[in-house]
Amino acid sequence: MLNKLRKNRFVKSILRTILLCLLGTFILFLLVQTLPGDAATRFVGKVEPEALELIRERMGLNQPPLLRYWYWLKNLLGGSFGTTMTTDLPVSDVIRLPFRATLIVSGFVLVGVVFVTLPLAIYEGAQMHPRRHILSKLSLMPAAMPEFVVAILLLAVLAQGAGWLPVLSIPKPGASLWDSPQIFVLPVLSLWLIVSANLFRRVAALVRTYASSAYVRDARLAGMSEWRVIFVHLLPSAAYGIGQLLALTVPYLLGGAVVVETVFSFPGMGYLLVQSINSRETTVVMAIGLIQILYTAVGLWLADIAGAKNERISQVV
Amino acid sequence: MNKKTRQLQCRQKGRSLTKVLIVLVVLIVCFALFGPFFVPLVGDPHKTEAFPFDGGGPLNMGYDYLGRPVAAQLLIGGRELLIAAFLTAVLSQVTGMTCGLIMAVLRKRTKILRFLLDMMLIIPMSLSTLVIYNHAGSSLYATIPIATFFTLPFTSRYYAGNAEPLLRTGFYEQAMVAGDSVPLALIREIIPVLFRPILTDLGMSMISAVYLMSTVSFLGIANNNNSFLWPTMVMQNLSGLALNPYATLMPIFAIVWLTIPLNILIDQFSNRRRK
Repeated sequence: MLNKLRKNRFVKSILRTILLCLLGTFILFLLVQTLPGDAATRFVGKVEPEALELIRERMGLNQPPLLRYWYWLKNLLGGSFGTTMTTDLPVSDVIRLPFRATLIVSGFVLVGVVFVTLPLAIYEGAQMHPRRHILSKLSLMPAAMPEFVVAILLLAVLAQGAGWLPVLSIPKPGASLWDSPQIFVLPVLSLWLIVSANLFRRVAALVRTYASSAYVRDARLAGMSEWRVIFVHLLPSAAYGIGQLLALTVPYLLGGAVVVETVFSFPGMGYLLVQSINSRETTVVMAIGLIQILYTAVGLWLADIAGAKNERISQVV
Repeated sequence: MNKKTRQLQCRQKGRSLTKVLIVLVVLIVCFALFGPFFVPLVGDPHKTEAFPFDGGGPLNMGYDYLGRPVAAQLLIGGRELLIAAFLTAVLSQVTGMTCGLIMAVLRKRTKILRFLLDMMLIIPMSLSTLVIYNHAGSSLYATIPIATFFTLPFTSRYYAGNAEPLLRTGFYEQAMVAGDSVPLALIREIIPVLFRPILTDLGMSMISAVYLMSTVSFLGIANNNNSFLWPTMVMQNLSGLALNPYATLMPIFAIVWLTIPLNILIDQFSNRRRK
């Protein structure tokens, strides 16, 4: 009976997420329509009204917005993002390289978070060292600053000041991303600092809650080593809560860290998004927006599942 | 030194730090709000007086990418950001509290409202705010409604979570039994109890609004050469970082001076409340 209820709730949550994504894309489309000008006016600038009308007709911009949304949705259900308005290239080709670039950066940041940030946060939360609060206070600084401030300060110190890294994170023309691996360093470092600063204190607070519970205290009193207490008793309970917090970070990383990519001119999804909004490439904006909506919806759904599990565990604790 | 003496010393250090933070916050808020009055003493921010990214100039801060004095722009760059962020924070608290209390009172009957709030969560905020900012001709005040709209899922959940336990208390039930309407009982009995959470969340909303407004004005300059907002100054002068670092670093310093002490102060206040 309980399993049937859980299965029903599971199916309902999936259907709800799909409906949310669909409506989200519609609202996004409406928002993009409110931008002044369109791809035709941005592409050609000042021309005769008749010429502009011809170009708008060629780009399909003379059709009603609802019809254009319907065609976009039909394309999407057929497995295509459509074509760009100005160059007629498939949108999937246009976003392939930025998507790969953002995936690579996000991968490195997640590795840094999992192998550096989380262990430090767990170490702080488990109250293992008398000077533990230093880490918490240090993490407040990058968390207190807007993202572009963190990115520009790193740029000023490591690139402009020390000259260790390139100022712009742009690959050489025609070369692959891996031909100049140093272009990844500043975006990865900035994003890692920003994400870590926000994640650190929450994970430490979560671990601290579990560390002060009776069964952990009993394990310590029973004479177990601190590492055994953490890995065998503390972490399994805190894992779902930590998973929930990580799940909420992924949409931010994979959705394209717009600001950081703009500062370094890194050719990721965020940078492409800003360029597309400026040039009114609706199809590209919708494709990137859809990817962000999907990541956020799935991230929130996973976070809800992990949170529900965490709630059941914390009720026992 | 025994434990009590150590605790007393820690508390005294904490109080001194709080005083220093308050002074820093007041100083930067006064600088942002009253700075425009001192612009005539420093120079005309609209006038090109030197080569792009030249050194020297008023207060030795040099000139920006169009040869205009950086010092004068710095004096006027904070007011709009601060006022827009404050209005966003206040508006988001009022709307969030209203939604949150409705969700707390009506509970299961608010499925549609919760669904709509979840929908706002998944629409990328930076994208939608950027679109509105572009649409509004680079005016931060125009982004206030959209920024309020998109913080609604967070603030409403926060207030719903805080108000739900209070609706089961004796004093609320007594008010209902005495014949008070639900809105009146909420205003008289529940909202006064939520005073500290409101203050804490107002502070957090203020910081979030400063971040959002800074990010939007950093990204969405929309060819507006007469915008002297601190984040816009950072973006416009970034290319000249090697030539005149003051044009980029002084507005960054101003933003950091605003956000870090405010953040630490709010953090201390919410920690004290938790104890």
